Formats: sequence, C-alpha cells, structure tokens
Amino acid sequence: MDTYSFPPVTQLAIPFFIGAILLELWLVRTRKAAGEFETRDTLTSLAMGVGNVAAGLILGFISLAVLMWVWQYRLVDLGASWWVLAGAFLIDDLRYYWYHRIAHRVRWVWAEHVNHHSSQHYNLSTALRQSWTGHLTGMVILQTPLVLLGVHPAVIAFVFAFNLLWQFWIHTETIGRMWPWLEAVFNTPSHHRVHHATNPRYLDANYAGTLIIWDRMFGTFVEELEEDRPRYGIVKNIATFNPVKVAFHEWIAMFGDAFATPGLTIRQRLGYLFMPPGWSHDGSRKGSKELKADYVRRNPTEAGKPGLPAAEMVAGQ
Amino acid sequence: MSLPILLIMVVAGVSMVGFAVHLSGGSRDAALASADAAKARFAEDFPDDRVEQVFMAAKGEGAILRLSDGAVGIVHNFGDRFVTRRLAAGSAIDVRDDGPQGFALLLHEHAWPQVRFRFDDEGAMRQALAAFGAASGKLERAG
Repeated sequence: MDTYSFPPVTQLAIPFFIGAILLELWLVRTRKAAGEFETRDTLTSLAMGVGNVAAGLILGFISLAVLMWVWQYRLVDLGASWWVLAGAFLIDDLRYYWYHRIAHRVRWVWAEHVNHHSSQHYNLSTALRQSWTGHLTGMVILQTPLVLLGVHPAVIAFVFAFNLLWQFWIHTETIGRMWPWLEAVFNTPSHHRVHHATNPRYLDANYAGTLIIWDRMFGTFVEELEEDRPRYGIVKNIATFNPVKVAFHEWIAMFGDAFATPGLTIRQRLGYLFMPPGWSHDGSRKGSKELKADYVRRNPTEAGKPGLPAAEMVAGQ
Repeated sequence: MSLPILLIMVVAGVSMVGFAVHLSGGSRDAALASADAAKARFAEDFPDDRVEQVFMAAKGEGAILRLSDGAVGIVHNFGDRFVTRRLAAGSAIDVRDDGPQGFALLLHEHAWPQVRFRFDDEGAMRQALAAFGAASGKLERAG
C-alpha cells in the first residue's frame, strides 16, 4: 500500500453529512420539503454509522488481507491515473449492483444488509444506518476480478468511497423527480425510495449504487409511482432502537432457523442460510415472490406491470 | 485524520443532530386514533386478513385484533411508527402479568422480545386477554 495513498474521503465528509442532515431536518420541520424524523430512529441510524466505521477498523483487515493476497497474482499494475480511477469506479459500481442484488436474495448476505433497511423512515440519517458485519460474508470475492486486472485494493477503496458519497444524498424525500437525463442514467432519490420500500411492486428493485443503468440492463428497474407511495422498512419490521440488536437480529434469527429447528435435513438447514429472505422449509413464510403474487391476486389489473408478475405466472403458483 | 479529531467530530455531530431532532418535536410517540386506524395499519402488512374484533390499548398505544381465522393480530407503536405481528391460531402464546390493567406478550424475537399492552381499566384488559386466549387456545400466563 506504500505507493498508493488517498485521502480518507468518507471521514472528511462527516461534517458534510452532519450539515446535510441538519439542513434536511430544517426543510422538513419548516414544511418546505417532504420527510420525517424521529429522535431515537435518527440516533440509531447514526450509531449504526459509527459502528460501521469501528467495524471497518476492527474487521477491515479480513477483506484487505484477501485482496492483497490476490494482488500478488495481478495481470498488470494499472496504477492510479484518472482513467484508471474512472474505469475502476464504473466497474466497481457494476460490482456493487451484483453485491447488492445478492444481498437481497441470499439470506446469508441479507443478514448483514437488512439493518440498512430496518428503519421505517427514509431520510439522510438512514443512509448512515450501515452494516457492522459486511466483512464477514465473503462478498469481498466480488472485488477480486478488478484486483486481478491490475487495480490496487487502495484504488478500489478510494473509488468506492465516492460511490458511498453518492448514495448518501439520495436517501431523502425532500427531492422529488429530477431532470429526465439524470433519472435515466443515475440512481436518484426517487429510484432509491423504491429500493427502500416494502410495497410488493417495489420489493427487490433498483439495486444500483451510482448508475441506475445496471437495473435497466438487468431487468430490476421499477419506477416510483405517485399512486403507490413507498412505505419504508422491511416486510417484518423490527421494534428496537438498540444498535446491537439492529446489527445482529437477522444473524440470530437465521442461525436459529438453521440450527435450532429440530428435524430438518441438511438441505433444509442450508436453505435457511442461503435461500432468499422469507424462505422456509415448510412454506409457512412468504418471500418477495409470494408477496408480489398475493398483491396481483388482490389487484389483477396490476399484473405484468414493472415489479409485478404476469397473471399467468400467478395462476401457476 | 487523527482518531481524537474523528471522535470529536462524530460525538459533536451525533449530539447536534439528536438534540435538533428532539427539540423540533421528534420524540413524540405514535397513537392509534381509533379501531379503524388499528385495522388500517394492520391491513398494510396483512392485507388478506379479515379483522373481527379490535381491543384498543390505553392512549392508542396499540391494539389487539381478533382475526376471522382465529389468529391474532397485534399493532403497537414504536416511536412515531407502528409495528405489527400476526400470531397464528393455535400457537402457544406466552403472557406475563404487567399490573392490574396490563399484560405483556412474549414474542421470542431478538429484536422484539416482548410487547406490553395497558388498558383503560381492568375490565378492558380482561376482555382483550380473554379473546386473545380463546383465539390462541394455548394461552400460557406466567406471574
């Protein structure tokens, strides 16, 4: 890492984060813009953000060790010129899309990511409600191709910091729709509100970090609709402001399902670890697929619209 | 950036935001205005259920809903929001005494181990508890 040294972008941005949250709060309270804040919810989100930084200091060596080991086998050393930074940002944004999609579809990774969705509010403080256990899931493997291509782990960390900065300001209800060209290419507050919503049509949609083009390319894009305002949170909302419980509740539930449920086969136990959230061995729970199908049964005219299955697919279930 | 400066920034920032949200009215708890409000909130999470009877807790802090299939729905405030659960018919439900006008349901969830309900009077509490017990069939009340 001696030859690569970059400023700590996210740490330098802390005053901006605080200032932006205070500005948003002022806009909300003076009714100049939409949005809601709750004291304990906000403090929990901020505590999760602080914990994320601390967890990075304590556990970050795991990801770093993996990437530095892979770095030995790089094809070339691409350096850190502006075009390498730009290219790395683009490819890493694609990596983020797939990481994020996996995080919503594989319970093992959802267990660390769910805390980001655990608030029923959607404001700038929600952006800081970050995971403490992200270094433990093995998803660092998705960064290894970029390292093998010759992008140093420090460069990846540097460009990803800008991805996180972009994702901060889009966690707000104060901004409605933006210019069409921006909405077409970039992840915006509108697109990300959809991602945080539990309305059936919005589940498992808009995984983008910075560029929404990935969702458009891979068929996971859903537009925010005026007639179906987002309801934020998770399908089974939690009722705790305790940051430790927020960070670990899904890990505990998942391991409980997998290892404390009597009479399961090994396949079923693995299912609780790696199948999508909501999966159960006896079909007693509902995941996003079932919730979408139920919604279409209740609202048949919505069948086949973005984010919802076609009528014939629902009939077949 | 040195660790002391980082710590000062974080502590000052979190404190400032926390005070600002609190002082601008962010610490008020949500309350259910009526039985219909309780039904509507429950229906957001469980739209396929039909509610037969609603037992409102004191000050609208929550409600217990008897569902048509014998299951029980609960709605309870959580900050300025509500959280809901559906307890399947026939499932064992642990109830703990919580004073003459209230009881606590033990949910056995790490992030929501128990939920407390208080009622305007003991009669209302007993009504809710009885209906709840009848629905579950396996009410277990611990002292």
